Parts: sequence; C-alpha cells; structure tokens
Amino acid sequence: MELIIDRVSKQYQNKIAVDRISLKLYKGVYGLLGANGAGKTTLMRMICGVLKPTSGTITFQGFDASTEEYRSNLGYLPQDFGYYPDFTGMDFLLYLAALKGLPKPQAKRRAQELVKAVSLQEAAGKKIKTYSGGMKQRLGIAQALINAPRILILDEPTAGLDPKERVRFRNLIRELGKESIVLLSTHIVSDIEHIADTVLIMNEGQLIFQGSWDGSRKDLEEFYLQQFEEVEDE
Amino acid sequence: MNRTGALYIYELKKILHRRMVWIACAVTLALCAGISLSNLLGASYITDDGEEISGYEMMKMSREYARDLSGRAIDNILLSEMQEAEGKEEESADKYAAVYSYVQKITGDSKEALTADEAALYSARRNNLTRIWREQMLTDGEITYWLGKEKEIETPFIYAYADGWADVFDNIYALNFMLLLLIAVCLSNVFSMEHVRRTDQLILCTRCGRKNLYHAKILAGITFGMILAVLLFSVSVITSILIYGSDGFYAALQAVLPLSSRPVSVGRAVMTLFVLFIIVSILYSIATMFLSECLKNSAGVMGVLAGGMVFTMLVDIPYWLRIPSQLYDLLPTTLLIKWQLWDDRLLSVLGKHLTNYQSAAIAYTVMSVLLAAAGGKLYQKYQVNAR
Repeated sequence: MELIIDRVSKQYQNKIAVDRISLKLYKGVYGLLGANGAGKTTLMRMICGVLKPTSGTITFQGFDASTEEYRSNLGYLPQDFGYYPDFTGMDFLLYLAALKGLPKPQAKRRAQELVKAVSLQEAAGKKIKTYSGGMKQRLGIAQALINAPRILILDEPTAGLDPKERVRFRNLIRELGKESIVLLSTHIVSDIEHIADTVLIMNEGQLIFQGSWDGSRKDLEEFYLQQFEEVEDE
Repeated sequence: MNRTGALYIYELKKILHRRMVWIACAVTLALCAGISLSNLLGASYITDDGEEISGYEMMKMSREYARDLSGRAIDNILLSEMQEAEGKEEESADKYAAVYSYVQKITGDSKEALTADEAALYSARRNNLTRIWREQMLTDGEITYWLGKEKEIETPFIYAYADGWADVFDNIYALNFMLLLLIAVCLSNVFSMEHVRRTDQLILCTRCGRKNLYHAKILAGITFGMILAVLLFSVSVITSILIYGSDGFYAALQAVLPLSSRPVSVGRAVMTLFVLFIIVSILYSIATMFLSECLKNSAGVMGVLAGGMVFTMLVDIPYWLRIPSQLYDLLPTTLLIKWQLWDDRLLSVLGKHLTNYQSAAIAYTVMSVLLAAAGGKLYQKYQVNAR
C-alpha cells in the first residue's frame, strides 16, 4: 500500500501554495503541522482529488487521484465540512455511503457501527441542524470512515471535540493507522505527538521536516517552533 | 457498485426538504386554479328581464344554449337562423350568441357576421388565411403545404361547444410562466447549494460523486420539473373542465380556433400542448440546473431566468424579419401561446416540413441534451479552491 506524491505543486496567480512536494506514504499515521497558509489544506485537497495540482502527480496503487478507483479508497474530513441541515445523521451517513458506492446492506451495517463508534447512537435519527459543534465533527469523522478507506485524510479533525472525545478519537486513529494511510493536520501539536508515527511540517508550501517521532525525544511543540525559527533565520 | 438510484432518491429528498419549495408550489397551484375562476368571479350581467346575474350564471346559460347547437354544421341554414335571431334583440339572440361570436372570429367584422352566407363565410376565412400567410412571409412551398392541410379539413365546419378546452388554450401562456418561475425557485440551488454549504468537497472526493451524482441530480431535477408540469397542467385542465365542461374534445380544432389550418381534433391539440409543456419543463429544469452550476448562486439563477422571461414578454420581433422572428417565436417562453396554433411558418429539414411545435420539440430536446452535457463538463471539472 503506497501513496506516492511526486513533485506536486499548486500555483495560484501570484502565489505558490504548494511547492514541489514529494512524499511516499505507507500504512501508518502521518501528522501534518504548519502555520495558517502553509499549504496544508491545499495539499490535502490535492491528495483527495478535489483540487488539481499545477504540476506533479498523486497516485495510489498506480491509480491517479482523478480516477474513480483512487477515490474509492479515500476518506476525507475537510476542515470546513458541510452538511445538509434537514438530513438526519443516519441519512447523511447513508447518503455518503451511496456516494462511495457501498451496497445498501453494507452501508446500513457500517453506518450503525460508526454512529456507535463516534457516540451518536441516540442522535442518529435527529436532524443535523439540531447537533452541537462537537456532534457535527463526530459525524464528519464517521462519514470519512464509512467506506473503510485505505487513505484517510483528516483536516483539523479534533476541532470542536471536548478532551474526552479527543482521547477517544486518538485511539480510533491509532487503530486505523494499523491498516490504512492516515494523514491528519492539526494546530494541536499534542494530538500529533500522541498518535503520529511520522511528523510532516510545512512552511510556505514546502515540506521542511519529515521524520518519525518518539516520546524519548524532546517536546514536539518546541521542536515545531524551532523549525520555523530556523527557516526565518535562513 | 453503482448507486445512482439511491442517489436519485436522496437528491429528490434534498429538493423536497426545502420549505420554500412547498410554499411556492402551493401558491402557484392555487393561482393556477384561480385563473379560470377569475374570468367569472368579477363579472356580472343584466338579462333581458333586467335581472342582474353573476358571470358564472351567465356562463351556465350560454353553455346550455351553445350545447343545444353543438353538432350542427355551420351552413346556410344555421347562419340564417343565427342572423335572424341576432336581428331580434331578444332571448332568441342569446341562443345563437355562441355561433355569432364564432362567425365573427372568422369574418373579423360584426356586420359581415350578420350578412354572410356559407360561401361568403368560408371565403372570408380563406382570405384571412391568405393575409396571415402573407404577413408571416410564407414561401410558396409552405403555402402549398398548408393548402394540402386545408384540403383535409372538412367544410362546412361543425359547430361544437368546447369552452373548457378553449380555456386551456387561453391559460397555457400563464401556465408556462408559472412553470418557469416555479422551476427557477425550486431547482436553482440543486448545484449551488453544494458549493454554498461546502458539501462539494465531501461529494467530489467520493467514487460516485463526479459522474453518478451528476446524473442523479439531473434526473431528480427533471423528474421534479415534469411533476410540476403535470400538476400545473392537470389543475388547469380540471378547473376548466369543472367550470365549462369537457364537451368538444373530439371536435375539429377549427371549432375553437377557426383560423388554424391544422387538421387535428381539439383533444389532439390539447395533448400536443401537454407533451410540449412536459418537454419545456425538462428544458427549464436542465437550464436552471446548468445555471445553478455555472453561477453557484441560486439568487443569480432566479434573476437570469426571471429576466429572460420578462424580456420575452416585452420584446417581439415582427414577422417581416422572417428568420430572427421565427427563431425567436420558437423560444419556450414565446411558443406556448394560443395564437401559435395558427403560426404557419415551417422549418424545412432535409426536404421535410416541420411545424413550429414539431421543430420546437426537437430543438428543446437537443438543447436539453447539450445543456446537460455542458453542465456535466463544468461539474466534473470543478476544483475546490480556497474560499
């Protein structure tokens, strides 16, 4: 299982949002750190095939990011995730399951499992417009997982979750990382510290650090800030 | 696995979940039923006895007189009876009022209606047709075509009371605009909603989100548009029939529109209008959804459609500009009008003549396919950029 990002760039009129990034991702959890505007979301959108790179390619098992085969392996939770306020949580999951091409019985079973996994059993029959921010975020996580994706892209997944939910979520991600490629971005360094096997740090569209992280090393937040200081000094 | 069917149901649900859709439909259907009633509610009449009666009572009385004359040939005998009765200024005149009014439609002159015999009447009709054909700048080929059709129309005409169906012809213009506005309100956000709510990025990264979902959305929109068209047409027809009766369905079209050269029955003409109304609803639905994807803003979509509608209400291209005028009159907002049933300009395709309704049906189908394909390209190429 290999996700290959090969010299990928995204250029807008007068700005390079992502600058020639090359990566090979395997099973495991990848934590993507970077300041606002570093290019994290742009990179994630390109990996999800919703934004075409100006140059470079993204492939999974030989399939390009623009293909249906690629997308059938994908789960995505965008940062500003949208929903249909008049759909119930269960309807929303079943709708996404249909979009992901899951057969009806499998979709129902999976949706039931996931509402339980994200603690939404009681609210599953209620309209999403009645959900709190945390509940919506948990629903977003559930929709990303509905097709048991082999590539899971999570943009700020812990935003809006309370501390208890965050711990549950970390455990869930850790489990998923055993079978899938999980790329998650966050501002909360401690989230990555706890679950990421590999840390990726982006600044001004470029990847300035890529490496594994273990608890015996120094504090990640300190290391993260240090990387930016070094870039600024240069 | 292809789940287009399930997505289609969800897309219908998305359309029906909006309260605005239900309110707009309820108001429009009520208006639709009210059009036929409005002609009767306001008016009142004074009878020969000096008694004031309502428009509805008057209509019922005229309907009974007209029914008594239904099935009679409009020949010298009926014309003499009518002219004699009309001269008397009494109740007997009311009995022949429907025939008098019909003859007047042909002659275009009230005095002539009181003097014309059978030969003069049908000659006046032919003269009127020749004048219309000249105004419409018909070619020799087109005139030959219509003369051939005229031969298929039997004379003398048989009088038939068909006010219920005539009312449908009268209302189709208003129905058409109601349909356009209703579709604009209900379908303008089919695609724009995904961009405004930011669900586009969720959808577009899924396996079926680019192709199957587009098809499901288009199919759901078309289904909804067609249901609206059937509802509007049915409500209008049912109201007209409840008020005026269903008489005259099998009568020749000339019983309602004497200057039409189409050798068809009233019922066939109504069914043609119905089929065209359905095709128009498909075109409106696809055009609305295409604009929804183009503009990504439902207010903008409604603005463009309402603007287009008002434009065609206000602007007319004279017949002497033959090609622009003919093309303009094929627009869906200008075609569904009663007098288009005697628009005799034809479209010549591969040596075959097509009437305005035939060419419109083909053109609308082609336009619908092209717009759906163009919308599909736009949708599938859409990129979720920074917002």
